[in-house]
Amino acid sequence: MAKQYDVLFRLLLLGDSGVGKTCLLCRFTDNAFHPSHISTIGVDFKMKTLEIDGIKVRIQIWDTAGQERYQTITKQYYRRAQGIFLVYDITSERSFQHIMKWASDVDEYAPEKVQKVLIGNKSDEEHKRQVATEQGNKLAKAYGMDFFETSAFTNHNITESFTRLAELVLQANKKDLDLLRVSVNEQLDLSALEEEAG
Amino acid sequence: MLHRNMRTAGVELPEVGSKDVPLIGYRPLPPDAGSPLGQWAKEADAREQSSSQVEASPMKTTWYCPLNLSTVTEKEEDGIIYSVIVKPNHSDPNAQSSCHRSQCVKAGTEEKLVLHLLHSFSMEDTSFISIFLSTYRSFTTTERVLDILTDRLGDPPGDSGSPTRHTFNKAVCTVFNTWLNEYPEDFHSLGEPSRLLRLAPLMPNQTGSEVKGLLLKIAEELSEKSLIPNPSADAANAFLQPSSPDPSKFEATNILAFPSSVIAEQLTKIETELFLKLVPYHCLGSLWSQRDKKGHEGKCWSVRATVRQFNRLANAVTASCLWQTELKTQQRTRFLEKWISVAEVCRIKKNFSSLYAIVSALQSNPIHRLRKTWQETDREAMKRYEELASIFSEKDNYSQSRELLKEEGTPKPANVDTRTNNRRHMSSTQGTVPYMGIFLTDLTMLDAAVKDRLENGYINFDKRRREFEVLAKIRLLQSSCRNSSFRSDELFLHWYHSVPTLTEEE
Repeated sequence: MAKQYDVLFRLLLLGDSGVGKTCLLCRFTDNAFHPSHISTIGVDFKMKTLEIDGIKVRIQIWDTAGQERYQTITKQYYRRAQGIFLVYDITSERSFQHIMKWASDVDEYAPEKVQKVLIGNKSDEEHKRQVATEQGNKLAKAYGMDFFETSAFTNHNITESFTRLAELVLQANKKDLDLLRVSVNEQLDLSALEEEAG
Repeated sequence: MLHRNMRTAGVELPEVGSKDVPLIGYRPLPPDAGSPLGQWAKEADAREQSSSQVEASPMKTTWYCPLNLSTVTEKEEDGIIYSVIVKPNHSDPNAQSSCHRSQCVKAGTEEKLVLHLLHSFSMEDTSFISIFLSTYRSFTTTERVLDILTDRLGDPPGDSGSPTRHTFNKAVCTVFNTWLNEYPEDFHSLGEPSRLLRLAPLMPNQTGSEVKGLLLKIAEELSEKSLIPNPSADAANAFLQPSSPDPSKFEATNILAFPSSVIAEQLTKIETELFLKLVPYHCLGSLWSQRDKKGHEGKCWSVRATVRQFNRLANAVTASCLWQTELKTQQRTRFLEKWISVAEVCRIKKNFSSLYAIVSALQSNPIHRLRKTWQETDREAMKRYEELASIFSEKDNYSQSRELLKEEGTPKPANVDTRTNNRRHMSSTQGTVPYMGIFLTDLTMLDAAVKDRLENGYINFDKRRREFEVLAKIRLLQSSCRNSSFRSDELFLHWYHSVPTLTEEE
């Protein structure tokens, strides 16, 4: 089988329930999403290949939407992620405040090298905004993260933010890339099925 | 599903048998158009042939019957869209050209969907009532549904004593019997009795007397309740009671004294009871994914209760393994081995919730980090632990876990390989308690991925049908648990409730 990608990354979406994590994912992987899969094998629209600096990057996105409260489950995902989106909803002050908690969980459980991007979702709902763009910027700076305001509804900044996180992960792993390729080869088999479908 | 013989294209519908059934939306193909398969039957106006049986609502029907494939077409009527599925039927030797034809609601306005409750029965759209009743809270309220039905009942179709009225009355009884049986809490949580008092007298005289009685009884309870201040919140609150055990009284090592089978049985007892109390529609994405919003604190309490038990158990596993900091490695391995053995029995008992809670706790960072302890853990136990953990691999979207649930979803003993057979000592039936997280994610994703409404504003009922498929799986598993019975072991329960919540200071 021809190799369809060079590296495989795992990205994780974190944030309160209802901030639109799944919608972001849905939007980003639009073409790979077949509603007909939902009832038979569950929704599975979590893979996408991007090309960054001539390298084919396959990203697998984990979305634990619906399982946020199972603490031991979600934390296991942290350990195996290379990149993490911290998502809040610009129309919910509360979801923004909780970012600190999510971020401290990440510090605690994720690998040191993990890359993070802060996302303020639902930017189309300007009239209901409770969190100013400046607040998002400030928080991102404090944590040394990149920051995007996105809208799954208007498709604003969706590709940009996913690409950015993939770039960051790529940079962070550049030195180990050869090493990573070896470990990715194991992944190839695991994801053979998705390969066919994708 | 409706067989329709296109040859005899008369008014007789083989499975319906009676002309009394209103032919809403159906009209047989004209004989000349019917003989060669694959011919189109052009738009036909159903009104002229069946106007005597159906109330006057203009409807147009389009369908065609191709050679080999089943076709899905759409049919739109005033305020409602049906998916019409036509399949050629070769099993009937009398008919050279017969078709299997079925239709189900795809989308509609709120009012039309509610009214379809009363029509679906005669249209053989048999699953509609179940789907509607388990999902309607996502797009309307109990109050609205009752109001629309009450208006309709106040102005029933046909003359008193006519076949049309008879069918209508039957449908009314079916709907309310099902509703009162399966979701009595909808009526009990109405807040005030006026709606029920308006509805009850409109029930059909003889056939509906039982329903009438029930509605009046609930109305009476509601009036009484409105006089006594707020006892109703107790049910939900009982689940929210936080317990804060005294850490100084916690004896971690006591867990080693309980046989694994006792621990597993007690955990399965707790999980089964919570799972049976679970209200499937609380899992719907539109409710569950909004649970963190302000004012939604009490929502989905039945799901929260199962999650809380999961976290409590995971915490108990972690706490018991780490509580005593001065333990020698060898001593600590006994805790790991104990919980692995409990997990095994949970697997045999098909208690996937506890199984996953234990496995995920053993995989969690604090325990995962105990390298030395793991190294000294019994090899066999480690092997079994890895097998159990592999059940919950997220590979191929949790396919292994999904397959297993399908296999083990019946009230039969677990299908565990022979190595563990000698450990079996249980009653002949064994319910299955699933890990709810996968269902919750599926429903959350379904909700996010499929639109609530069509572009014309109609409620997308197809979405609800898909959600119902997931809810039906949950209900099936619940019914497998109904006959389970357990003994209580107070000593274990006492230990279990004495486990303090562990923070990150291990």
